[in-house]
Amino acid sequence: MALRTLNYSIFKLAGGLLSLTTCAILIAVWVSTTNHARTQVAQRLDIGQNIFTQVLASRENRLYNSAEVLTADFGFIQSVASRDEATISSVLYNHGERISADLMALLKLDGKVISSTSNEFDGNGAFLGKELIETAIRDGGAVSILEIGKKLYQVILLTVDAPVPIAIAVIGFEVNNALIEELATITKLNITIESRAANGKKMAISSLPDSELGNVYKSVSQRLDIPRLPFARENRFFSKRFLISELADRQVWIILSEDLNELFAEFNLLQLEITFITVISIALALLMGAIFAKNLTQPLTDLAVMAQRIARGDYHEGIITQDSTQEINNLSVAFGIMQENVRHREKKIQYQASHDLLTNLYNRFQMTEIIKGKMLEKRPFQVFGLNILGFRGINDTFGYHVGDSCLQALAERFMKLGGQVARLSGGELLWLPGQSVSDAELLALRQQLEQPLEVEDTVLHIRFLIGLVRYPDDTDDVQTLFRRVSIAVDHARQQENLYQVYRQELEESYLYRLEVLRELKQALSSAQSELAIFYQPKLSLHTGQVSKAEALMRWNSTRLGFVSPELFIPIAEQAGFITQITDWVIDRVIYDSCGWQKIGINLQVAINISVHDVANVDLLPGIMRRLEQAGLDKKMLAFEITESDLMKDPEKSIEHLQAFRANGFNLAIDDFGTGYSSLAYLKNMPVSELKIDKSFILKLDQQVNDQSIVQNILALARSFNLEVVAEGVENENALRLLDTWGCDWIQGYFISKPMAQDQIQDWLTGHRSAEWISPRAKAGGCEEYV
Amino acid sequence: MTKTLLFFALVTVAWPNIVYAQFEIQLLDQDNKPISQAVVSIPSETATNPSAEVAVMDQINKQFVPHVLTVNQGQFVSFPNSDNIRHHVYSFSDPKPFEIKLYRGTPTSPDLFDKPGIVILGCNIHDHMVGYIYVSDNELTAITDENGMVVFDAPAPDNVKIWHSRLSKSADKIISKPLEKKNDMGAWQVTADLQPLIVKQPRKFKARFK
Repeated sequence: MALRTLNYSIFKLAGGLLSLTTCAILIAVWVSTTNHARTQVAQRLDIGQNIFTQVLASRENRLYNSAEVLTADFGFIQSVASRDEATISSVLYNHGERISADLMALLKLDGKVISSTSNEFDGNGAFLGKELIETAIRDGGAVSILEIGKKLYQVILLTVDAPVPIAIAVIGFEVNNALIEELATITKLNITIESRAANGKKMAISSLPDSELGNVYKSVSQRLDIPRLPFARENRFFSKRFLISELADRQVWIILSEDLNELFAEFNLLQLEITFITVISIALALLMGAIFAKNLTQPLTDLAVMAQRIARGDYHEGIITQDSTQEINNLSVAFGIMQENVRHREKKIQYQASHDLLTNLYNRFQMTEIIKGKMLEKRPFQVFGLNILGFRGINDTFGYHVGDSCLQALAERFMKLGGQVARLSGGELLWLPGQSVSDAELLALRQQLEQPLEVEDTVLHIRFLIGLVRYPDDTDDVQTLFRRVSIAVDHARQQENLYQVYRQELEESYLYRLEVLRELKQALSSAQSELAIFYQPKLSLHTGQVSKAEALMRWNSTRLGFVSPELFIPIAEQAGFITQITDWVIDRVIYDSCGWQKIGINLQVAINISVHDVANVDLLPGIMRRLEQAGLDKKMLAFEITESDLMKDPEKSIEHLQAFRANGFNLAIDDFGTGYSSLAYLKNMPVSELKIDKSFILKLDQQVNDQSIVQNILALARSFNLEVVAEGVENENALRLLDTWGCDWIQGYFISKPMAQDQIQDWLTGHRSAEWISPRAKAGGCEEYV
Repeated sequence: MTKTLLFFALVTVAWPNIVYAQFEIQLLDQDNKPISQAVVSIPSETATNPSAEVAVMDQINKQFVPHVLTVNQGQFVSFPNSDNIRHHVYSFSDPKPFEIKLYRGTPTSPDLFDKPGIVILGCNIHDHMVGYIYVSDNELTAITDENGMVVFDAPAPDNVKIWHSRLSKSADKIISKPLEKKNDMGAWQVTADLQPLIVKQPRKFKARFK
């Protein structure tokens, strides 16, 4: 439904109500007046009929009496009896004059005309009819209305008695317009006398003009319709018809007609008056309604304007509150309160939207705006990213309330620095110094900021990773700036002073890592032709045979070229999809091993895994399941894990690795000697091998220090009953030394470079009887390991 | 006196006829009701001579008495007024138009009725007074009693003449009826149609308008 203005509604209500009421009154008046008129018409016609018949009866009486006096006159009787036609004729004329009769005649008892004053009378009196004559003789007289010579007569027949009837005197009085008019005047009705002959011929005399006779005849058969329209020309009359004379061959009817127009004229006038009053009332009501509506709606319109202004965010103008209406006044006051509240709330919301609620520092959004603003000034400025080192640890160790208190205390310190500070998330802060800060100043500030904090009886030693990005040297774009701050802070972790000024290369390496990640994911999910496993044989110094190999991952990316596992494995670990890589490697190794078994090659393949892998509870069951599916002995797999990796959380590692060991897998500590192993842990490590890091082996023949380290490791291993693998053996001298010292396994370029799966068979065949240490042969060295 | 004697002689002469020839007639109307005051007449040679006696048509209590009077042609009729009011006796009938203007007692002389026929009498000042004088011409006449009966001492003829005031509208019509049928009593039964009774009153027809 379309919306309507209140104005219009009030207007409609007032006008509509009044219109309805007045229309109802009009209709009621119309109906009742019409009803009244109808009753009145019916009454007037009844009264009219009575008056009419009375008048006619009295006239008839009068005429009859005078006629009777005439016929009883002895002279008249004498002259009739004399049968002297001339005398009779003169007597008729004379007596007719006496009583002002229009027609005089004398008939024999059989109806034959003796004498007459009218030419219309024919000889046998047929015009009267036998019936009328018989009646006259029987009753001594008769009265009727007859049409004689195109005129209507009220006719009186009287016998001339001498003393028995000897003749009949006919005395006629014309029923003419004068009489009708007189009757019309008395009855106040229109009178029509209609004479109808049996042969259908009609004649009428009426007080109305002939032109209206049609309407009169029509009205006789009509009912009075109530919904009569004012001044309707049709059905102008309402009539009543009754019979006054009936003979065998003739009927005479009287039609009394009421002119409805005259009757209704006064009613119409009344209706017109009421209509007029109605129209005036409606006009007045509409006018008053309009004024009322305007008075009512003006303040509402004003308030609507104010509401729109508030909606636009303009809260500063007052609300007009002068109105005579209590309700409107209340509304205005309410609007005022609302404006105040909205203003207050908006302020709060704006603060919340731009600030970190915990520290009351700015939030990232607001900081973005501030930096954008500063950038527009086109003046150089510095942005420091500061991450609380190990903030997560604080939360984990002491609880979030301590972390929060710590942040609040630090925020206070930052606020004292000046400039603008925002908390981006967790322990990440961003500081825009008010003026340029040199490295020396920064050092001083750091000392100030990193003073121990005492929170809830706990003393916290805070360290910040700090990254610096400069505008416009490093970037001129806000989003880039944020990213580069983040990169710089990340790199600060690797710096001794935990401080990194952003450099272009940082982002390049960052981007390179991103690309590596992207490509690696693609390589893993696609045909995987870029990824391959190479195997590097391990030579047993006890047997002189190659019976083990290490599986090494190779990635020859079409886009990035050869990518070292040392680069992409940490990236994959960081990105959290090292599990997929490990799975892939395990699948691949099992597949290759199965292939070798079919051609009679038995090599125990060692796979490098990380603590992430070890911590994955699904890994070991997965390996067991796949081995079972492939029908491969679990002795054919072994695992290596780097010492540094193990030492990140030795206790957990021991726990996880024991499960591997319990399943009968050989485990080796890789890169041993670089990871600060604790002997206490080493004692409990469920491993069977140590792999000496190749940095000690590569120049073993030249470096005395390395020789002594290797000898010590060998001694240590022997005391823990562990086998030792030397990696990175590249010449015979090193081999000889290691053999002399009792090393168990040799791995390195001197034996072989890592090879693809399909090259292993040829290599093994080619080196089946190789003498790795030329001057002396080892006992039992001719044992073949096929 | 001589007249009385003569009359007596005539009766005496006729007597044998009476003995041997007597008949009765009963006159009935169309509704088989007896017609009284009707004059039945039969031809008679003996009755041709006018009676010397003066017939009397008296007026008593504003009525002609008798209502019907039969006289022979040439007989005198006297119209004495026995009321203490005046009467104006008249007749416009062809046999004897006359008029005796307002008078009391007995008029000076009786009137001679020398033409046969019906003379209808009226009183000009009392319209309801009607009387009839039947003037016979060589006939024996008799007036029916309340039973419509007349007796004639004569042999029954083939036809009888009958007059009654209601036989015609003009009241002067004499009809002839054959004697064909006798009733149980041995009387000849004659039927005649009567006109409706006119009872003349000042206003006896209904007004058409009430």
